[in-house]
Amino acid sequence: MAAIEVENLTKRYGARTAVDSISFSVGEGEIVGFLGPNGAGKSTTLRILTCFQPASSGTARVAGYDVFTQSRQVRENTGYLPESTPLYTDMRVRAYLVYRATLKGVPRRDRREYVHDAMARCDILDVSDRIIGHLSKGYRQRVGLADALVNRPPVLILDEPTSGLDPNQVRDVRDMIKEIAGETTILFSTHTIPWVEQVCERVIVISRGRIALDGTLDDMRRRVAPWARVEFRTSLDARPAVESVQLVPGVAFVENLTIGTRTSLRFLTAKADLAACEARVRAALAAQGGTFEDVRVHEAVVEDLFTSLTRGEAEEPAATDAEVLA
Amino acid sequence: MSRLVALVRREFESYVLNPVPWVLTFFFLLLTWFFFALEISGSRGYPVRVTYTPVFVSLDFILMFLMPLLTMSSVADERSRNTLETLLTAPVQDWQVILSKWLGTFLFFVLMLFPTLVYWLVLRHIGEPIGKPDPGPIATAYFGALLLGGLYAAIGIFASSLTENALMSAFLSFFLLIFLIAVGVLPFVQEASAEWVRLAATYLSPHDHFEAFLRGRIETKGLVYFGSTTALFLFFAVRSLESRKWR
Ligand SMILES: Nc1ncnc2c1ncn2[C@@H]1O[C@H](COP(=O)(O)OP(=O)(O)OP(=O)(O)O)[C@@H](O)[C@H]1O
Ligand SMILES: [Mg+2]
Repeated sequence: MAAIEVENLTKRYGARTAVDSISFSVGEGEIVGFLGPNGAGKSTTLRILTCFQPASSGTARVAGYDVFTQSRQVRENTGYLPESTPLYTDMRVRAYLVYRATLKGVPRRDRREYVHDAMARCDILDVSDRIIGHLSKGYRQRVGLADALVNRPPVLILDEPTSGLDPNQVRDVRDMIKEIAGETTILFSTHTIPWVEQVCERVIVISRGRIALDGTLDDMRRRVAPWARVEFRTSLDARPAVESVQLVPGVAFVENLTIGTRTSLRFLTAKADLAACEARVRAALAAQGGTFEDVRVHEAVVEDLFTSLTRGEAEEPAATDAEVLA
Repeated sequence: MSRLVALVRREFESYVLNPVPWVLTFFFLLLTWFFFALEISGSRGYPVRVTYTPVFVSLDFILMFLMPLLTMSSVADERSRNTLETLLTAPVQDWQVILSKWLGTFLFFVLMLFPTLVYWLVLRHIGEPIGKPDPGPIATAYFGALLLGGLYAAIGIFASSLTENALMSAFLSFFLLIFLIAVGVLPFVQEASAEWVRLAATYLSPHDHFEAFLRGRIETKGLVYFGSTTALFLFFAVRSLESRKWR
């Protein structure tokens, strides 16, 4: 049985559709990264899964319970770290965690032990008597994490657990997640792929409220293997350059990398077609009176797929883009 | 049960650990002292022994200002600081959250009332003929004060549950309270030809009900009034918290 099962989940805010009929499932003990740019609908989905908001339509089950009809059981079995890590800033760390453990139904005799464990896991034992409002952002994030796992729930839902952390702390969170992996199902949202690559093997990419990709990283590495990433500079302005390169057959995911005055672009193309494609791009730019220079070719990596998928919200994917994803 | 206890404790602590409620307590005592002194000095030998009126005579008025300020952040701040999200995604029920907020406020209000017992001693000290405090009426006066505070707290929490802006919440409960208190004296209500309109308006206002308690009487009418209105506003507050589910 899957720990999280989502079917045709839709959330509308008035006329705006934040989550558009998404379906996915997360197996027991699996760790899954939920990836997407700002406004993609990650937090909205996670709020529905934790019973904070209802969906407009569709169903979701967490730990075997329906989020709408069995909200209480879902909440008993889910640890949740909301996006902004809300905490009572006037309380002390230990008192807060004891309070949360009580709310989550941890029996009185186990509370001390559970709270101590959670603090040890998140490495906050040394601040256990400090007032939460006096802690740094990173430590608050850890308190939020300790809260999420204090009752040892089978499912953890973490909304951007690493936002606002320094690289060392990011590594700590990664280690902590790895440590509790196996016993616990974890779904976490994030913006960055390198971090996902360190923590888990599976990602779900959401973009504009729809699932853009769902699969293992291995699978995605295989997908990008036949593709190359081409970066170049041109004497044209960015806009006309992007527009003309986009029309070249065999070019996918054109992106504008320009910083400063020299226009710099990149695109993906099939390795097999590389030389011919470069010639076509050169010709297309030349037709506009532009140059094609400083050309660098790399192996495409998984991150290219994500940045490509999640760039410019309004643009429609080109035909070749779909080919990359197929 | 232990959940409710934990919630109430947290609520009570949120008052105790913050400076604003204490500032309000200070003003509360200052105002009650002011009205107390005014009454005593104006009574010129008129015996107040059977009542506790001087202490609480303006309580419904004083609380009209203080209670909105005391309760303004109870739900509104949880909303604006997103702690409502952590709170409601724990396995607690909406009614438990509202009830605990009300109980926590109520407990702090009891704490606020405590120092007013000093006036009892003052009355005893002044002695005959002005002060000869009777335990009976004093007990009913405090009972009435608790009922009054409970109702105001419920209204304040309801207002706080409607918004994420604490100041807005204070204004809202202030106007609700003004309306409730003043509905009996509104000109068009007074001039209403139908007898029942005037009766209903007087019944809606807490003033007369409270006054009965001050005079040493426990009236069923008053108990029903405070019980039902308090429950009604708490019910509204629960519904308003639930409303996130159909927005
Ligand atoms: N309460 C709300 N009322 C109206 N629209 C909302 C509300 N909450 C979210 N939205 C909209 O829903 C969309 C998805 O928002 P969501 O917060 O789920 O994105 P996200 O993927 O978490 O983004 P981020 O990476 O910035 O956290 C956005 O367009 C947002 O404006
Ligand atoms: Mg978000």
